[in-house]
Amino acid sequence: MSASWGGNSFPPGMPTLNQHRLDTIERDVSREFLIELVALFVSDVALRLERLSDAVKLRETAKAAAFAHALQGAAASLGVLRLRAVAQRLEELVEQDDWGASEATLARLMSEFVLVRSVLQTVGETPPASKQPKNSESQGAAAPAPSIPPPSVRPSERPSARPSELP
Amino acid sequence: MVATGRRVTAREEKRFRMRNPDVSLRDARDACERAGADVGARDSSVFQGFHSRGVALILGPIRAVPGPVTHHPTTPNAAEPAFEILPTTDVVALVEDDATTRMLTRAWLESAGYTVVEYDSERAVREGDGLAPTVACVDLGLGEHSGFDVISFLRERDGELPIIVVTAEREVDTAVAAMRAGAYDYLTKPVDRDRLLLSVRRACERRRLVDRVKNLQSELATGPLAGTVVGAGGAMRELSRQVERVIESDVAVCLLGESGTGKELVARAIHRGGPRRSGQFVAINCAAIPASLQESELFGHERGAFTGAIQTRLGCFERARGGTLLLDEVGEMSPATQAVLLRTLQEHTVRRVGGSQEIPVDVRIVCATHRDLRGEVDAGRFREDLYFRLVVYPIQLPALRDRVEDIPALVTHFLDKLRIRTAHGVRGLSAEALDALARHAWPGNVRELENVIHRSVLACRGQEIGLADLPPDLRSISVGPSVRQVGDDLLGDEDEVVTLRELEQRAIRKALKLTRGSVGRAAKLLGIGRATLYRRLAELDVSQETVGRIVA
Repeated sequence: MSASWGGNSFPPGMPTLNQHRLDTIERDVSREFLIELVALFVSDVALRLERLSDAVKLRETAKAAAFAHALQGAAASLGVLRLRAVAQRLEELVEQDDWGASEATLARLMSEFVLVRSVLQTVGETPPASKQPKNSESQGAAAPAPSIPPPSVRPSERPSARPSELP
Repeated sequence: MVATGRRVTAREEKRFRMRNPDVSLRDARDACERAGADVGARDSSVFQGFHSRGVALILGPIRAVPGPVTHHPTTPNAAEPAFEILPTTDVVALVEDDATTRMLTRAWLESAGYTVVEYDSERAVREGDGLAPTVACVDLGLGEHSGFDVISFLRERDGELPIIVVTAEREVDTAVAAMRAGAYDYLTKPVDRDRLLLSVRRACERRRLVDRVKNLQSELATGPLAGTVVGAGGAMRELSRQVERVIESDVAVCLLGESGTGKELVARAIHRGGPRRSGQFVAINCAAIPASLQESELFGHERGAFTGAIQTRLGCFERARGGTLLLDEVGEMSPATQAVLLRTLQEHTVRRVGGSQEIPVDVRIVCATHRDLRGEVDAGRFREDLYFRLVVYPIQLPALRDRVEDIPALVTHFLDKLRIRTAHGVRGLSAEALDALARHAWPGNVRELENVIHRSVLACRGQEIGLADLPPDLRSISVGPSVRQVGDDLLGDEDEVVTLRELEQRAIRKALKLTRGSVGRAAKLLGIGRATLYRRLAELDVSQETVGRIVA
């Protein structure tokens, strides 16, 4: 998936989670396994974010890109769509040595993680997936409203913005 | 198990029947229906599995489970699944630096019956325990290191290893490069479970096929007579008849014979000629493994089971699943391992050292020993209950001194074999040299003969090995005794009356002593057939050990 979307917003209609993927994991393995997997994801991403933050502060391109890349992999496995998209965008910016935009995107990544963590905490509380109506690509039933900082530039104002033009 | 929406092919159905001969299709179909599966109209819908959302294709072996099962990786919500998927013998090496992806992939693979060995970095792969996986899944974006390095390393270690590369979606170009570098398949993240299992299954099948071809090529190259044993004398014909009697059944065969008589070759012939020929033949020499490691070698171990067990390791039983396991020198097995082996043979399951799971195994057991196993039981060194499990059909392999008529054929075979390796110009043996070989007692049997031929070829300066080219101990063998010599010593003093039974015993003992234990030549001296002599020895209660003492 190429991050062709511009500004600091997300691609239109992108949900926080791919609920279908979580349901599939639960059905294919077990509910207990899914809860364990989510716990591992949260702790692992928290650690990686710390390292990523340090690398961005120190302007270490290779390390920062590698950490951002690894975050994408973890997010993709669990179906955490928006976190993955922001991490991918950050990797691109870091590779371009656009540190100003990188820091802004890193902040967005942090706030997205806070949101994801709160949504994922409900995984162990909801009834088993097999008893719920199937709804792929849903936003997560108990997801609170995203507390993402307002974008400085709205996508509708800059629909064709290229990465190099971003802050 | 692989989810699929298609109909099962006749070939897949045939494979299922072969792997599950004890499960009727009707039973399996009923079980699927009870588990809420989407079962189709054909009988082959038995392959369609336990997923309520769709269909699943069961290609691995399954086993009937008595009564309801509450925990099952693929049917957590099923009320009454009647079958479970058995673990395969395939090992997947999973190289992935992301913990979440690794945990998920491992769970998917294990739920399909694979054993997974995971590595989180290139370094971990290089420092691994050398376990040979069936297939490898490698993440190309391994942190700061390239997955290409891992691919190169794995390829160097095992040129036939199928490697499935996993890569991010936008790195498809990299994946293409990996394919060019020899990768078997590539998957993009996020990995789809069904796509992963399909790719792994195909890779395993390919691997098995390649291994099978290599085994066949190896067998064809290493031995004449379908790669078994050389010789067409009476003893070998009798051996061949005995092997034929047991080859089609699963009866436990015990091969008895001195060292170097070809016990492993016969075990391979039993495997190759029987219904398990498509499975693996695994041989373990119990005498070569310290007692403390025998259990781990036979039954495998889990990671962390003991110091140094850094990875899960399959034992011989699991590796031989569906095939044949040769327990060579079984008389040397430690008492502790004997106890575990007995339990395994009774339950048809193994438990890895440090593990808690009972893993079903379906293996034909062939054991071999140079010892008198019955004597070991009597001496309290070998469990009697295990003896009766292992020695259902004993086959005695003849010593070389009992089939001297095969020596010329064996010599020709070894000369041909050496010609390939050393390009020597020796064409045969002189009559004197052959006669000396026929008179030797051959305590090391065929292995010793091969050694003698090799040494003689090195010593020979012409095209024919003469008496002078043989090792000194063979050159000095004198002509054998006459019948009269044997008879004169038996009658004793003039005023002594010897019973006919005693006389017979003395004659046999004397003949065996003069021929250094060669039953064939002793029979010739006595003017009877070898089989008759064997029968008389049994009637007179003369064991192999007694013969050994007579010779000494």
